[in-house]
Amino acid sequence: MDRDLVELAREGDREAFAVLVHQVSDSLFAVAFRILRDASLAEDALQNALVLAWRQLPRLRDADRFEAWIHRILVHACYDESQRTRHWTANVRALPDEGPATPDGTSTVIDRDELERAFRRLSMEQRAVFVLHHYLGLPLVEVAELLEIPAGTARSRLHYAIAGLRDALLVDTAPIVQEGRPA
Amino acid sequence: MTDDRALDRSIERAARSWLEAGPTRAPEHAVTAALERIDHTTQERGLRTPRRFRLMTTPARLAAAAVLGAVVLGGTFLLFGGGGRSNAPIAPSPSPTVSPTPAAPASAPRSVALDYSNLPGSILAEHLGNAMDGTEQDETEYNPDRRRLYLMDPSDMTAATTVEFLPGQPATGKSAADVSFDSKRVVFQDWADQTRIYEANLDGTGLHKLPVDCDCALLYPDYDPTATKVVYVRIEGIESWLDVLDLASGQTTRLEATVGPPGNSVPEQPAWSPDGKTIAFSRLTWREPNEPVVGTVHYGDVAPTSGKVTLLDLASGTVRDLPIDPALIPGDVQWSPDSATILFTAGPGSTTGSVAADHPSGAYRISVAGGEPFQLGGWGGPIFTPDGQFILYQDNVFYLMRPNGSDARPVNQTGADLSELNIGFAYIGHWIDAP
Repeated sequence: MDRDLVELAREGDREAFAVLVHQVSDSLFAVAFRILRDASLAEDALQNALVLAWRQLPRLRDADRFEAWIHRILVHACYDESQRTRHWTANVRALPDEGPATPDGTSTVIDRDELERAFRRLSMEQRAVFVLHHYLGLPLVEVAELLEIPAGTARSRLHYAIAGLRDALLVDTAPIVQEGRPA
Repeated sequence: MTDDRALDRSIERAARSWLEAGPTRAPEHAVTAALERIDHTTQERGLRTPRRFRLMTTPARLAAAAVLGAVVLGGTFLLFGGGGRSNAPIAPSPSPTVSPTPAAPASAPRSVALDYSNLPGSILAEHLGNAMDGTEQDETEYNPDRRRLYLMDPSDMTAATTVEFLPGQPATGKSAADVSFDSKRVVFQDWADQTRIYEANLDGTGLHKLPVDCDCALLYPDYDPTATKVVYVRIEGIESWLDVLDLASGQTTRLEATVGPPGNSVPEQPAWSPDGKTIAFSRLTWREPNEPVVGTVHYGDVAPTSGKVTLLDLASGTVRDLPIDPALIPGDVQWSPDSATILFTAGPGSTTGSVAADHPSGAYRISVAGGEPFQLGGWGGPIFTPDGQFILYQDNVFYLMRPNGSDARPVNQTGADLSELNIGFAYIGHWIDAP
């Protein structure tokens, strides 16, 4: 990331910020989509994060931290998007699981649809840690630093994310929430 | 266990592959739309720095999730006498002073630097994380279990000049403090697995553990108006309630009407009204029950979903809830000196820790007589100064504002940013009048 561009943008240079936007927007959108699992929500989160980043850029103390800083803003924009849709997603019918359809061990190929369903059951905070660690490849310490949470909390969230995925894939007897079916 | 680890690794591999499969390019129309919005958006160039998350956990957080038992709503009503809080005479309210403004980039507009650094008194600050003097700033593993109290002088609130209160005593840390009406004593809980309550003089002498011993956790002590009694949360087994300790006799009394209801909720953060008639407390409800661990610090991942503020009338023993939207998740309850108003924080980091870091925060006030809560602004930990002239609160640095939310200014414009990992975090402050 070009430190000079960040400095210019921090002092109000919109053109410099536009260049930065083009440099980071692909990564931001990719992360947002993977957290939210919805392209439309991810677009909204991206837009809101970029606008908020522009507004708050003068507060960024260390220009070298721009990329981590804007990813943090994006993660919070994702949280906000999920909050906005909470009422809708909560107001859906819970359908019984149609069958065992669960893998029975490590040799089983895990179906992508099953992963999708399992991932959607994780909290936004767990999803964020999981995506930053497993998609962006950030070490947990850096994930914690980016999210400004204790390293122990990041570890805990990742642990619970994996446990949640495992439970959902292996021993899930809970009803499947089928979104888009108003109660 | 080995199978579980292998399975987890398999799931992680599969999930990584699955994550790779999604889109990697931002839609051009979304980027264009963002840039158009930015064209009409001005940058913020205020005094505030980016707010860090509240990185606090609490034994009550875990214990709250452990309370699954039946309710014991008793009919034992208690009568407590209590004199009015003998506040110091109201001092002339100082005018905000102008501090030197740090050099700013030529292109950035200068901010007006106002603060209350000339106000006489001091702040007892509840703090967690690395030491404020910077001696632990190289710690890479941030540890919120380090709990300390610091005394801060409004005229110079840099990290280097703050004074730790009773450093290292007790070894199990200090948290959730309350200052007596005469600003001479402080009561606090430690941060042990089974928390206990301590009291000391503010001059640093007389530290002692309060004589309550049980297989339980004791949390959130708060003096009565005469500082002869202390109310606190007691969690024992699957039950939780407010207990009152008479400091002279050592006798404890269980406030039956505060026993936790079924589910994962315990009374928290009791505050005794200055007129002695009422105890206010909050109660948070967590999304799901957790394993029954009582009095043990635990890092949970699940934020509370709702909360309420309840008033216990000590004469009748009856309780009533204030009309606060449960979704605000109210906590950090504090009284005004005239016992007419209650302050609270929405999404209090003091009890919810980082798991509720994304909940909208803010300081509110509500009349005990009724009416809607009024959002004062700021972030968290609002508490009246003893003379009722100001409300002290935290928003990266300590601020003061008038009871109506106006004239909000940092206590010291050049004071340390108390939301920094390297020097830890300060949350609730207590204003102590100058002797």
